[in-house]
Amino acid sequence: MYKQECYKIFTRKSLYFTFLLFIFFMFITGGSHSIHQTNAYQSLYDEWRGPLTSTEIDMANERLLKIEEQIDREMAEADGFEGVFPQRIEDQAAHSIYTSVVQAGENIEWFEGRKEALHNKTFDPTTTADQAEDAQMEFELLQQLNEPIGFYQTTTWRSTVDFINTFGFIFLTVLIILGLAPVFADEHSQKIASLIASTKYGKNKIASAKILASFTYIGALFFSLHLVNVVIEVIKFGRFADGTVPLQNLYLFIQSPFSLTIGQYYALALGIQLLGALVIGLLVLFLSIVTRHAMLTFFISGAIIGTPVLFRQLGFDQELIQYITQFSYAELIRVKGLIDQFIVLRLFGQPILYPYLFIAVFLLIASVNVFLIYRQYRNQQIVN
Amino acid sequence: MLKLIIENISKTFKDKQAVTGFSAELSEGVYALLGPNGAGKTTLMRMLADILKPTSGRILLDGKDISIMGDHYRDSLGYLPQEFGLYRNFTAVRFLSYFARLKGLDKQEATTRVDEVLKLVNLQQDRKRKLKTYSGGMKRRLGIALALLNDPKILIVDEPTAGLDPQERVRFRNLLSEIAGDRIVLLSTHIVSDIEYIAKEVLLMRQGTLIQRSTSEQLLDSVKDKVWKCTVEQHALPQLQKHYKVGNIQRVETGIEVRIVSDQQPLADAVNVTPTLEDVYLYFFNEEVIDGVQAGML
Repeated sequence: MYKQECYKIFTRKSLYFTFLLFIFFMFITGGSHSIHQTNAYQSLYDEWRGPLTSTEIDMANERLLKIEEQIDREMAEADGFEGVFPQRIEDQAAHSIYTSVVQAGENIEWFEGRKEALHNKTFDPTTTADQAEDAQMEFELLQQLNEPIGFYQTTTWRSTVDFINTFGFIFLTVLIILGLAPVFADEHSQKIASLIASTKYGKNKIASAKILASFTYIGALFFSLHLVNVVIEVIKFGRFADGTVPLQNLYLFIQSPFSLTIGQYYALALGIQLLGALVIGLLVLFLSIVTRHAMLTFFISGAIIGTPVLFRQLGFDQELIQYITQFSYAELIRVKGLIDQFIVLRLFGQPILYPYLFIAVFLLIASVNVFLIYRQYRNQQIVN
Repeated sequence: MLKLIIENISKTFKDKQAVTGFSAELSEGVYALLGPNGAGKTTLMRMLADILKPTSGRILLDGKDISIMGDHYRDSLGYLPQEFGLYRNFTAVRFLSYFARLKGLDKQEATTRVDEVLKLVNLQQDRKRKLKTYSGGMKRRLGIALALLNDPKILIVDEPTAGLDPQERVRFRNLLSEIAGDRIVLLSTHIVSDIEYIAKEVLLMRQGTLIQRSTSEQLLDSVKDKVWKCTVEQHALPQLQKHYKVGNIQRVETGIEVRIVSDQQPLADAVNVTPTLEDVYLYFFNEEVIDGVQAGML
């Protein structure tokens, strides 16, 4: 049964077509950082790579100022000439590196300031007990980070990690909905439901086979998509380097309080995204049973997953909408929002970190969903 | 001895009563369900196939409620709905093998049984063809093969011969006769000749209720003196059709020969003829049209 259910999903040409379309899109979007691949950049990078001292940051600042003065001179001399300034590759590489080092210095300063503010908040008499407890929790997490910010070349990692919460989640969601919306619904539109439901295993084991086949599809889709992305990132930005440095070196995660390396985060994010993909798959399967219509399932699933994203984009910030957005399928499959900042929520008065509560809630939702799928499928009545 | 008891079952869809208080006791043999469109035959069959739940009443197989038996009941069931689809990209073998597993056959049993049923419905030559290339009749035959796949003790077939050519129909009819010895077969059909020779009993349904249950012979007997044949002029035919249940119409040299089902002699020169099940059908299911019409109006 499982094999045949897989066959039904995997022989749908529209899925391959959509997948290839997305890959094409991944290829053509995002430019490569050619300067990072030059010898000039690499030799200077080796010199500056690593945690930064204040002396190094000051030095980088001075050199950056000099290069910017040089840029001004070159532009004045060019007088209307359009081009890249500074003109020499070596100077371009130096400009790129010193800018990054100076930026990293500012980030280090900001990080230390954040820790100090939290420490002060803990002892501030105007702070409530809950706020103090939350601040202490955040402070302790930050204390565990050892020199979290330095200067590293993380372009390939950044782009790869970014893919998870940008195109990756969109492509994955679309292909899951597209692939799974017909799983139960098509049995009705093709008038096979009555044949199936009247068989011995047509009300229970078949549901398990369909769920397993759907999970297989999601797994295959997930690994193919990320594998293709990794290849594309390497082609665009070169080899992966500095995966063992703290996650906070990726600008989007600078506020993250968690002690993870970039590589560890990537593995964790893939795990959570796969979990999210499976949970979304269960939602789609449930809707496929309830609506008995693939197109309707497609749109309802899309609305359930997409609406919180839309709310966020439109800047709705009412408390209820914030909760909806925070605990949405989209947040689960995007992953980033769980890790990129410190959020603590209170459950029965006890502080609990948002990602832990979030994962627990969605594991519960997934379990209920599985139960509902079996119940709905077992009790469905077929009238056509 | 196998016994299927239908105990006062009803089915309501929103504001429509599809089946009302239907009761019957069935044992081995072929039972034909006869009735006009909308009589509730398909709904009744769906309840028997365990894909619809009765609003009230229950169905018992050998004393056990089928809603409690669940898998065990469906294990002994073969069901062919009136309308059904196929997976267009599957071959016949793949399709039947898939259903064999759904019906609880292990891999080896499935392989053997798939071959057997394909042979039975004369599709072994086309076993590797994709189902999207099958004609309507071939699809119907595959449906029959599907229903027989698990060698069911209870076979429920809704309009099984629709779309089959006469030769295939006879073949299927004979097949049902052969296998009905130790199982319950319930079939509904509009083609009354299908049941004339094979049905142990005929269940007549109208407006969701069982109106009569008899053997074919008893039914034929019940209309014995009510079937007439006469020859009329062409222009008299519309009046005749308006006031009587008119069956076969045939043009002959002297005019138009008509077959009429009526309690009284419709015309002076009408003669009694031997009834067929078609006449029975006409007698029972056109009754309301003729109510209150005086004989001899012509």
